[in-house]
Amino acid sequence: MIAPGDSIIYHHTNIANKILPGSVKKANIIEVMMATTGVYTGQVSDRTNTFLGRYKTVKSPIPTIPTLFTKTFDEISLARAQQIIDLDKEIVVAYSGGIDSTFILVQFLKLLNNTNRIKLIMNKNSIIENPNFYDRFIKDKINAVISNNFHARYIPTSDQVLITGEQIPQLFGQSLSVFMSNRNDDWRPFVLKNFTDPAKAKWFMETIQPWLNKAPFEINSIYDWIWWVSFSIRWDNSRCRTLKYNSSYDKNIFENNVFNFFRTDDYQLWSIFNHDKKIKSTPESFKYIMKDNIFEFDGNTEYRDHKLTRWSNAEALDLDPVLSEMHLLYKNDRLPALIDNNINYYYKSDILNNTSQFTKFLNPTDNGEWFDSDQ
Amino acid sequence: MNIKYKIIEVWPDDHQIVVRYTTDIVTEEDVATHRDEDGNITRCRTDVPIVLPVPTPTGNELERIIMTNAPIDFLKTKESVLDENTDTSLASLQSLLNVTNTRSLNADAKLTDEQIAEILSQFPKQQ
Repeated sequence: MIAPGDSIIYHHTNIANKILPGSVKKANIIEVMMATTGVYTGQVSDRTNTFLGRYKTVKSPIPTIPTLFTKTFDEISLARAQQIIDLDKEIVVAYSGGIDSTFILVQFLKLLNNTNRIKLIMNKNSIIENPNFYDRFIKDKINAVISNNFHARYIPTSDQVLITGEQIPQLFGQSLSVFMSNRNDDWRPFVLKNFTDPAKAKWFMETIQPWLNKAPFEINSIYDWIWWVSFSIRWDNSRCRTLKYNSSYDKNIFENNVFNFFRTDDYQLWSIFNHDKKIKSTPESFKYIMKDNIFEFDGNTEYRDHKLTRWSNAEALDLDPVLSEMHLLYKNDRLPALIDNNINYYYKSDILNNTSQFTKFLNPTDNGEWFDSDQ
Repeated sequence: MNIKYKIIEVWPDDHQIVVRYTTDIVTEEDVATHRDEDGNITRCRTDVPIVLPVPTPTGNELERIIMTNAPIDFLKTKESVLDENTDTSLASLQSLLNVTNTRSLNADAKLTDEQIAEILSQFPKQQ
């Protein structure tokens, strides 16, 4: 029996909210902030420690910011790949064929002479995403498991490390901001357009000032705003995606055998010190640093110049008849509704049958960071 | 409730099967949606396509995948509908039938540009 945890590492928003007393219909301020980025659900936890949020959550601190940071994205990436190689385990890459997972694979291919160390978990869509790369570097060269159902459900053994491409939206910016033609405009009217009540809008602007003042640089544009919200509030959400599609992870495997490739202090510091290197003038230029790196390896100008960012994994999930029925799986206790910091899984029926057991995860709702009604 | 299932179609090109689910109470007749010219059932509301992993699972693993995809809530509801002792008449909603309701969206009442400008005058950008 694993001891019950005291904080949450993952929750399914709608189901976990059943913990709340029935009469409470409030929105926490960081949930409202998150909604302005086009992402409405998921784990939110304020890493600036300005707001408590709805639940007691696992929270990774923002690294201490030095006065100077000169490491390049390429340097950080090769070092990260080498760090994983040095674990001397089979490297299992969750490969969607998108920019992030292709970039990760390239780093390993640059460093490893023996591709037997690598295994890919992918699906048919991973090939469609980047057929040139598949034909040249994967087909008949790397052990690739092609499966639609279990792309997101792979649990590594103790002899493997599962590598995911999570955290990129927090480093580079949510995709919403990439496709906005007004992304360089003042963020304040953009955010205030979400409100209906001037008094609440004023309260919001006043209340977020301490959080805003903790940003590592001045937040001017919509792009800046969306990045800072995502970086400071949604970083820990991305840690758990591999957990929530499974019900049999144990804490040891999760902590020692699952690596979000981009989840390091160096990547975070790069993001802080290189805000001008995330996108140029077009959506196609988003993550150009990563695309240039891939180009140096495969010479594919088409991919470098025209590949648009998109949530490749989402397409993989849409193809998947199990995962596309997500709501059904949650409802029927097939997927967890809440996971605590000791990796105990709780299902919808657990929550509905014993709500009081879960109220320990709730933060106060009278601490001045709540909206009385939905906005 | 006992779930019954049978594989009714196999699609090798997509490594996919179609599974039909029923229960002890809910029969194929109860969930049929399409029939051929002779009246034979060709499609049910509980037919679920499932793409299988490679290599093809068998035994317990195959059953686990099939059960994971079972439309359990729908079958539970359907059993309730077929149970004479459970009121599923929706009588309370009969009076709402064909009544047009109108509700304005929040989008209609967003802050105006003037209101936003007034608020922003109190919150100058960081210096």
